[in-house]
Amino acid sequence: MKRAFTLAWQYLRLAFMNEMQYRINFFIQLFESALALGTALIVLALVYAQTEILNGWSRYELQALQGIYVILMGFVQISVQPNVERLLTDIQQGTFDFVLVKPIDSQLLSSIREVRIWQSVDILAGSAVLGHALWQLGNQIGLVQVGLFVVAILSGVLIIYALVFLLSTLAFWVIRIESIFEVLMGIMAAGRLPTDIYPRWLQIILVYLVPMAFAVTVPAQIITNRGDATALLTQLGVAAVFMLITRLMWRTAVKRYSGASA
Amino acid sequence: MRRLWLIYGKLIETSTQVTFQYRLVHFFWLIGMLFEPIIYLVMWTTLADEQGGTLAGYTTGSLAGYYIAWTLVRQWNIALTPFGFEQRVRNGELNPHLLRPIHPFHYDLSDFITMRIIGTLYWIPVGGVLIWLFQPTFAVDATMIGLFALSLALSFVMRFVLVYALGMAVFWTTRVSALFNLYFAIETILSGRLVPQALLPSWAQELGWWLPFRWSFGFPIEIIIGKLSYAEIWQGFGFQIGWLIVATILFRLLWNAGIKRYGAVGA
Repeated sequence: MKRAFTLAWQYLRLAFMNEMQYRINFFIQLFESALALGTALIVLALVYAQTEILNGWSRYELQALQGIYVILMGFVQISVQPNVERLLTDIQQGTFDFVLVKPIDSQLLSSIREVRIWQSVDILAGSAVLGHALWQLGNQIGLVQVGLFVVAILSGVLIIYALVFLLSTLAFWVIRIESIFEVLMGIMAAGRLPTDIYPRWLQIILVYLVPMAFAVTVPAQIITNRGDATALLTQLGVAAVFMLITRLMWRTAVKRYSGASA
Repeated sequence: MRRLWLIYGKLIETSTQVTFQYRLVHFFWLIGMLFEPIIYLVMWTTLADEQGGTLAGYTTGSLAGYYIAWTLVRQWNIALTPFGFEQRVRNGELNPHLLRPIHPFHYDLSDFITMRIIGTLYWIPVGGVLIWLFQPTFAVDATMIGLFALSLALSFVMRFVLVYALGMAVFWTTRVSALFNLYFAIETILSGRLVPQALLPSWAQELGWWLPFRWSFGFPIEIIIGKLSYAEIWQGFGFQIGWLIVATILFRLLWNAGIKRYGAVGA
């Protein structure tokens, strides 16, 4: 476990040193995050120009939810997405050999190799939107609550990570699966709104198949004082189950890999 | 002119064969794209429901119609982006295109027409499911469908030329991605992709009238859901053709100036 963290830290350090060569990218990323957030905030403004409450959510409660969504997707873009892209290329081109011969667990290595440092701007931007929303709501937020919130966010990241890796193991059977991710990314975008607003069939997808209902909603509940212990425990349970399934799938899948020139 | 038609016929035929190799990819891609309009649709219909069934002149049925037509219009809203063109210039991929006797623009346009036609074929079953799920109201008489198809074709060609012309900026500098992203963000907001025009503040609606964006997205949608009078429709066609002419002139000027600067990187 300690070795895993040391290794992840080393990869992070490397990525950081590498990216520091391209500092202008920070500003490009900043601009792009601002555009995306600006668009989202404009939609919120347009909606709440018509009403006070949408499906039981006030403007700043919904803004808090969207801030959390941006933070969560920030983690996905910093780490999950680039690692999966690399994994898929490796499997297609046979360079996955180099992962297998290293004296470390292949799933672990495949999950920490790539870091896109500048994407962390999204986490800052999301936090700013969330912070502004919370300030407007004027709720009292305790230290414990913040702690639980961080736990809920991280467990949400784990859920998405597990799901994405679970799907990517399919690449060991069928090579071209990028298009499946298009569908997944589309569904994940539904996390921008609270799950209970959607029609029944989409709610079922968001709870059981692509559990954005847990990944985004639970942190939002905790930080807006709507949460309870059951919700958080359920979310942690979902994360554990997804991680376990992904682990089992990974083990089966890697056995199928036959190498490039074999 | 006749020669050009023959060339387009042949090019479309070849690229159809290429595109059909990846059937499943296109289908998944289409499914992935559906969630964006579904999110907007759910949000606005919830709001309309809470306000007693109508919102800025839209009923829940016409909102559903708006966003289902959206999915088809979005299909025809895809062009060769400046990012695609940037990659070509940067990697020197433009070189072989320049050696051919036909302008590269024709290859691209015919490729995109093919993909849009195939995309529309895939869209038919998907649109059917959406109609069954969301119960929209459309203006379905033969004239309106004909006008819709015409406006869709015009919006595609108009936006294609316009965005292509925008890509010419790459001949001068390759650091323009921020600018392009800003352009596309404004387009998203003002074109009707994010929200129907009627839900924008009135100054933004007024502004949208004089910019190309709404004529390549919201306009065809508003025809098929029966929002526009005949007078407004003819006016819209006028704007579409006007912008097509502007875009074509812009493209010719920028291309002719830019191609002289092109240094054929990677040659």
